[in-house]
Amino acid sequence: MHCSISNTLQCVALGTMDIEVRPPILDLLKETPEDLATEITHLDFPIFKAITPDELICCGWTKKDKAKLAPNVVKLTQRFNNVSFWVQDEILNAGGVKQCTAMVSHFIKVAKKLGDLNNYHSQFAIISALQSTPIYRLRNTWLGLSHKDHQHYTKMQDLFSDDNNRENLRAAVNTMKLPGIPYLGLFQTDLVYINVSHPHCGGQEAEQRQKYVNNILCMLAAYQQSDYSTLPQNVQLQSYLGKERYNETPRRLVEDDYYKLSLMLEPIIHSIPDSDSNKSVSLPHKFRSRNRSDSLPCTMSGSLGIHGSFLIFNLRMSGEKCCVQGPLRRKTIKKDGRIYPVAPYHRYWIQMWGKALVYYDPKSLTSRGLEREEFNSSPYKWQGITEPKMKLILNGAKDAQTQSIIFQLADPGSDTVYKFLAPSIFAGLNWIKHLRHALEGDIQTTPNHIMFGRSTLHT
Amino acid sequence: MSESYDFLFKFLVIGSAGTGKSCLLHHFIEGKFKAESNHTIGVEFGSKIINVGGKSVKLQIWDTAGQERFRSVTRSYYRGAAGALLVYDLTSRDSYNTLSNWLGDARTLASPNIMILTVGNKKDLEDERQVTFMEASRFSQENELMFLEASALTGENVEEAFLKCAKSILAKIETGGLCLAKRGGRTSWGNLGLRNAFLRRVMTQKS
Repeated sequence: MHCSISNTLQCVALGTMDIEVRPPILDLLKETPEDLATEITHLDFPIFKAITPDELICCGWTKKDKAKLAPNVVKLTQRFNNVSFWVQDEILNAGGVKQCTAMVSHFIKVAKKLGDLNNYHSQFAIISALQSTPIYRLRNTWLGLSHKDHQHYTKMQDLFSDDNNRENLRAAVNTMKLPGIPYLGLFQTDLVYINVSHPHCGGQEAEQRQKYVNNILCMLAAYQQSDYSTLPQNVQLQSYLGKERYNETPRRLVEDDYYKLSLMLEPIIHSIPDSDSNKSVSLPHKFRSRNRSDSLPCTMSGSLGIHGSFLIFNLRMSGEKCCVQGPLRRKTIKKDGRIYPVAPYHRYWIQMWGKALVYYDPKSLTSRGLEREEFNSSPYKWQGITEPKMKLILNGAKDAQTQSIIFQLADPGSDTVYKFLAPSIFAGLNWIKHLRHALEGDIQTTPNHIMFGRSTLHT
Repeated sequence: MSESYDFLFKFLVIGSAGTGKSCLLHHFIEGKFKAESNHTIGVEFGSKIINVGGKSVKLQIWDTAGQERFRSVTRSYYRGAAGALLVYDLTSRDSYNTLSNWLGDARTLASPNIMILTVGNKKDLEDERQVTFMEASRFSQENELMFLEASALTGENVEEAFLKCAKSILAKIETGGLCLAKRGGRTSWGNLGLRNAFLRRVMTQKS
């Protein structure tokens, strides 16, 4: 199960868009938000209705044998996650930024309709999918949304905000009229706290506890009296929506794959779009990866923003080691086919992790220090060196000294060449050795002043 | 009702179900929840003012106990958090193994400046221990986290966990490691006057 899902997503990530491996296809955009919301509700409600007080009183879902102690609570949670994954899946596989925007807009409408049906459960599932990292960061996708969609989305976002212990959602749920499906998580948290502060031990405490628990059970029992049977049924749509895409276990893998898909749609170029800084612009994809065998994101390049430390963490988690590091100066010789004749050198602390270079920029632009402390602790950007034709070009200058402190990395795929300057012969040789190793001997020894018709030393 | 404090820190408690996150919080806030007459948990639930090195800091602690299996841990939960307690149960290997997942979430969704403290809970159940101190300590070190073992039952190290985290946030602010000028920063300021005085001090120190 583990593997097949991961593989499926990798196929999709590969750009092969393998239709066979995806659930039955239907053009979602052609289904009206009303119909989708109605059928989602038809699927949610029976599970919600089946929850028994016993499942809730003992907080069975927090225990190891939760599937036995609280089967319907577990099922409802799975429904939530399933809807949430489905939404991300559909958006990420829509086939381009424009289509993504259309899909996001469609789901905002579905969420709104779910709100009209008082189905807070799935409405929250959709909103949390839209707020998930892979979707949230798609800046260009969000930019394309209409003002109206934005307004609706913001409203719903506020409804599910965590502020003041989900004050808004609590107020909405408390005043909602039947039929309705609340977000069960609210009650689950409350029940956990009731259990903590009034442990099940009898005596006077029992009375207090009873009062609190009964209150919650009564509320839920009332909602369970809801009747959605008057809503139209669409069997075909229901079978599509009800399809179990992901069981609970590999969700981390699923999420990682979604993140990769998201990066392919809109790669990180300047910084991660953050709610606090809306300055960044995602540029068109230039480093599209063709080599998916590598599970690390180092097949592409970009700036890191807040993801810097996460990248290192990820590299570490996947068993990578930093094999060589040190201060280097780098300048652009050629980028995307354009030659930069007078580009300045920039100082970086560079680490090589497997097949990726991680760049740390200096703390101060004026300092000349070569120590690690002179550079920032979180990465600034990274560059994959697994591009199929990535080449190491050794400088062809005459004297031995120059030869070993200068080297170039060329990516003919994007027609980009960077030149590196090591601080010492020893460091230079060390870098060349490791790069040689990483690039498996794909080394070109063409002197670069012939390549670009320029003298090479700028020290 | 007005209360005064110098700093306001948003704190998160994260970790798998059954690790006793709610117990830790409950112990820390001294059973405030018990006293709530309302049937739902009050809005001020989960906050406490503590004294750190002569400054009063209001900790606003957010916890999603009971909802761990929902993938609804959204950005807003992590946004603006200054600190987080990453809780596992030292008698449950599984809960320890999921730490990296939670850490991954925190690293992606929260500010890179967030101070995270790993808490091995249920220290009182020494006989059932499945995760050694050394192992968890090494994990924490490798991931640049602080680490403590605590017991929500006996109260051992509960207060310390929150204090230690708050202390290092303050230390980071004072050494200028936390950028205060950034909009939507992780640390709110309870007292504007103090903030300005502080900023002035930071600036004079720098110049």
